[in-house]
Amino acid sequence: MEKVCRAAALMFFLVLGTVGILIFVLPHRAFSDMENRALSQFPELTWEKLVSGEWQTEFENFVSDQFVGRDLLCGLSSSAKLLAGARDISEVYICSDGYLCEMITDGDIDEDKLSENLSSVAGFAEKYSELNTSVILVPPAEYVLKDKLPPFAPEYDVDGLFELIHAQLDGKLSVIDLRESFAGHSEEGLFYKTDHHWTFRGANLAYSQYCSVTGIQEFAFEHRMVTDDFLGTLYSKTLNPLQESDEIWAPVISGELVTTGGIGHVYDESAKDRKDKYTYFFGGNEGLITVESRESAGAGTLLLIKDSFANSFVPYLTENYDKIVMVDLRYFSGRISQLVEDEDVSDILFLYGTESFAQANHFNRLAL
Amino acid sequence: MVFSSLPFLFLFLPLSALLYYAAPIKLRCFVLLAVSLLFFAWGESKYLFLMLFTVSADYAAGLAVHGFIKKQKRRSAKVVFVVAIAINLGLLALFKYADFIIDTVNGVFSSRLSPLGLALPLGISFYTFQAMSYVIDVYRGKCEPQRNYIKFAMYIALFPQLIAGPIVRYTDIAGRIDERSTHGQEMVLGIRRFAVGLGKKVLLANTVGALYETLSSYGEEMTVLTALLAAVAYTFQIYFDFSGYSDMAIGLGHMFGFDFPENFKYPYEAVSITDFWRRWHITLSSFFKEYVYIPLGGSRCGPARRTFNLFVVWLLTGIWHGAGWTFAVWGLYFFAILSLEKAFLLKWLGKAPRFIGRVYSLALIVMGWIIFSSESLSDVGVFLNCLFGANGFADDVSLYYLFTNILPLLVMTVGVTHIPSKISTRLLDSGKIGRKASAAIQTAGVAVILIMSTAFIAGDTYNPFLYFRF
Repeated sequence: MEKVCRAAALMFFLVLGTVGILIFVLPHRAFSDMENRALSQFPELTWEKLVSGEWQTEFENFVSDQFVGRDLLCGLSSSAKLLAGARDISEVYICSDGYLCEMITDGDIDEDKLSENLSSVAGFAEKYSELNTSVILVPPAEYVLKDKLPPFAPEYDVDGLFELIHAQLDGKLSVIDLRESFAGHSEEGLFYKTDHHWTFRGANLAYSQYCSVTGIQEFAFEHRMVTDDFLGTLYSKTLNPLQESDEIWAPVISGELVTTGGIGHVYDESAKDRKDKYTYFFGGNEGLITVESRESAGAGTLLLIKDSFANSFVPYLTENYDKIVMVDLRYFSGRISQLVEDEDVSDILFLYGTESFAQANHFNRLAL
Repeated sequence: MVFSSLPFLFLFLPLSALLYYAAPIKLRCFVLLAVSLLFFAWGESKYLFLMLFTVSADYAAGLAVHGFIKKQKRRSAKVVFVVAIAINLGLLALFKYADFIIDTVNGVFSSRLSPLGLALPLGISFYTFQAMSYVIDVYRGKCEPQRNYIKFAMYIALFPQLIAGPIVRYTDIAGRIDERSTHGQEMVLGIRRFAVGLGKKVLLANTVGALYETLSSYGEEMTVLTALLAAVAYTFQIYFDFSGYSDMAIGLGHMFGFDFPENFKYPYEAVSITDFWRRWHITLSSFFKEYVYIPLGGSRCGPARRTFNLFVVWLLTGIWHGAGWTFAVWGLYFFAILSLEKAFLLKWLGKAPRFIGRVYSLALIVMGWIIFSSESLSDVGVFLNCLFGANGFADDVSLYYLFTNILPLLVMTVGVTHIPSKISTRLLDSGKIGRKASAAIQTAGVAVILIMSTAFIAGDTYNPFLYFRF
């Protein structure tokens, strides 16, 4: 008995130690596709960092990030939590029909910030009152897919936010409110299941409403499937092994386009091999991208001030506009007023996810 | 480094154990001291000198006190003793209470003394008490002084109980400090105990801790149910966190041949608050009883003096838990209840059915944790306001978190009782199912807890350390 116990204890320490050694011996990954983030590497050892304790913290992150079977363990912990009854993991709701939705509660929304942003946009529209300015704030998936959220799931008051938006913008520019049309088509897969972005259906619906509000011609598009293996950013937070993946579809563009900035194309075929396949559209976000169309319907030049929601929306506009100037204020360092002048802009559109608009910190740049 | 971290589990622990057992017996104390100092210095290397100073001061004090007593120089012994205690308490006061005192002075006299902003050395509240227990017991002649510096330093810095107890008195383990024969069976027992503690901390305490964190973020908007759920969540969190740590410490102790005293005995099964404090953080209560309450005269004096003694002990117990008014109030809250119990309540409770005592105790314990967990006394008011209906009974927040956590909460409700331990003892240790089956179940149990805990630690960002204020 004593011998068996000794052997068992020795085994215990040897197993732990072997796992420990494997952390160092096995090749280290630079990036986790599953979690969609860079992983910590073995920290450089310096005396200062050692004394301050910084090295120790970095070392602990390194061990955690390069841990043997990390992906498997993350999946295991998510599964166990779901089994225990949890319906949210890392601030993401696990909804019915395989949908994941962001968990954003009232405490996450700063109404003062939103108000500030709205007045920046209103001021901008007034400055260019001779141009047609519109704003589209995409209602969040968790609002459109209310019925799919877990029972009683706390959510922020989207309708209250839109009241604020209308109150501050109506009369100054045209607010294209998608709430009603999205609610009417909520069962049609307007959003990805594993990502917070909209699918081609959501973008297409928004396009047709944009056309009818602004009075430009609405074109019909054929769509083709880009991939059926898309696991988006919400998946990267929940890491549920049973999650079904999404299909990405994109409109077929018939005319010839000239794209400058970014990857130089509207569609990035190499994104199919990447983790974040939503970057199929323009290869991701860039400060400034312009798309010129030779065979457009001649609606002029559109200045599009946007976040990533717009990336899958722009392809639809290429049939209408001669030129689309896409500005992502997070990465754009130039002056907007200069751009309006240089590009001879006729229309302006702000296109953002509601929550990202409300929390954006960059609208003061509009005044430059 | 905390026990529930991957570097500890997969690097520090196996390395320490293998080094320890590979070393010749003569060197083992040194190995244990070395790894303990590494553990201590991991986060705050500059405090290594502080630790070595405390060790040296108390080591010298022990020898000096003993030497003077032997030479019948009681007065000199007393001087050394008082100086040693003053050094220990002084360091504790400097690192733990200085800023609190400065803040209070600033508040009262509207002065502008600037706070020192010193980081709390790891485990200072625990190892200082251990060091004091040694000096006091040598002074009282209850134990021989430790002449071997390495062994003494090992006792003070011993990593298993360094950060969260139990507070191991020198006399508790004096024999094992000098001579440890490690048996395989004891090591296996230690591994099992460690795994139980790890599971309590990572799988239960962290889960319910995250729930508490979320709920309490609703602050003054909490409905009755949200506040209730938050209070229950904290009640579970602090028990599983703290007792889980104690289990891990006791388990680690066994792995290295020590037998540490128990620290928790199903405190939420208490039938009175007096009973609760015999079951909760036992080594702390017995420290205060042995070294403060009894020397002050204990209960063997007049009622006024007795009440005063109790007051002192509970004020100290309160502020031992943290330098802040909420902790002082928390201690005095228990002073008030215990005084009432001593006066008449215990007699009443003795006559009533047991479940009345249980409900009474639980309600008061949870109320205590509400004070304990609040940042300030006004936060206690806000919380109670919510708990008593300022925002209505329930809302989406409370219902959502109730339904998504009902299973863990039920598991934890059973987990705080003696039932799981009773079942496992009956199943594994009674010999009913045979040795091999019992060993297989234990191995599987340890493996499952270890794998799940590793998964939770790896997959989670929430792994708080509750003792930063202790």
